[in-house]
Amino acid sequence: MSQFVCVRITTMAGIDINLFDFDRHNALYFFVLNADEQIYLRYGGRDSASATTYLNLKSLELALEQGLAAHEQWKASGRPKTKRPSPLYPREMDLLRRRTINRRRCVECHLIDDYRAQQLEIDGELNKLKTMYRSPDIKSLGIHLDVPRGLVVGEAKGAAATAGIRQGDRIVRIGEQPVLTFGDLQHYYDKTPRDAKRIQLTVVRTNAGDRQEKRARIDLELPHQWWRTDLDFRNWSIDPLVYYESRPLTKNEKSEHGLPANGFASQVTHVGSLAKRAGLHDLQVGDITYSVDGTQADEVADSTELFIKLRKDSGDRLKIGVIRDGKKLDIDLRTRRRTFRK
Amino acid sequence: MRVTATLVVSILAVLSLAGLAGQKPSPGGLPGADSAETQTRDSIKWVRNYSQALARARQSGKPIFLEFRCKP
Repeated sequence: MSQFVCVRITTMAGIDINLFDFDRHNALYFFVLNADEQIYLRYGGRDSASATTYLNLKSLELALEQGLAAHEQWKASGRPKTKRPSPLYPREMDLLRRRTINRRRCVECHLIDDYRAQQLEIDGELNKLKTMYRSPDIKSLGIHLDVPRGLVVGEAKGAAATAGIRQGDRIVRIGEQPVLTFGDLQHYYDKTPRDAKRIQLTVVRTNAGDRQEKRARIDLELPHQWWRTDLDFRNWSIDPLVYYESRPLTKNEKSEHGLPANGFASQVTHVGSLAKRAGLHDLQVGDITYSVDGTQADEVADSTELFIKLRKDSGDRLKIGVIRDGKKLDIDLRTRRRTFRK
Repeated sequence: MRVTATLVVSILAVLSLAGLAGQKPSPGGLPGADSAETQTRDSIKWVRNYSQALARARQSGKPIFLEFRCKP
């Protein structure tokens, strides 16, 4: 590590958040850059299952080697400059300035995205499908990386296999954007418009009996709802708050309860203590929730909890269709807006 | 959930970086967070100020390894 100037940042105050743009739900995130603030690569990223799926010693070592190589190229003036985005500092975000900076509180990473989303919601400009489903999982394309080897494909399934991606291919570009690490790939994959039908990946491969590496541009057809991920790990930062957690019912369970197979019926698994104290709702663990204001199905939501988060606003008063002890009843529920920790 | 994730990743990162540094953990522990430079148990000298890191990178010709993390 002596080949680097190592800097550890624990508060975002004073940091250009447009330059260092990353999914703030990563507990750790790294960049390798130069003194001109040209970013060579990112190291970080995660999937819904774990914060460490894509992080390990080998891949970090590889990323650092790539960072050093990019730096040598830059010093030799052989690396094109990338355009720097317009700077944006946390103090320029009104809610964040008033509620955090002016109170001399720590500007934690997650507050950047949380306040940004809240401001958008207040302004009526929040696109929940984009904001909630940040950092889509490349496994939805059928790409399973050999993580210690960086962007080398360990196994190609689904859309990736159909398009011709093979085991051993090394991904080097998404669209026209060069990528060195999983962090790069996930960051730029996230920039893909949610209504896109295709993306292009460039891979480097060595064919059998051929010593020379070859580049191949591969067009992938994006699967239906390719951007969709399990939101559990970022659940606490999405408005509105509902103060219960649930699991989607299986098709069999829905059938047993006489509920539509395409519905978002779900079983309550946890009730937040504030629900009762603040008079928000009277749901109980074990309740089957199957409708919200009479609606029972949604194109995206697979639970009533998710339906409310996607389609309703903070402060809404809703009627939840519930099955409790085999009997159907309606329960009133009021949603709330986050107040943020700290 | 978030705390667990933070811990897991932090431990991983510290172990990783200690491994990369190729040195045994320093017995010195963690100096105060306010100092411009801190040497952590992973034996890495962390600059705590971004502008200072840029200046050092310019002076030394080295690239910058920048870490964002929730807790010091």
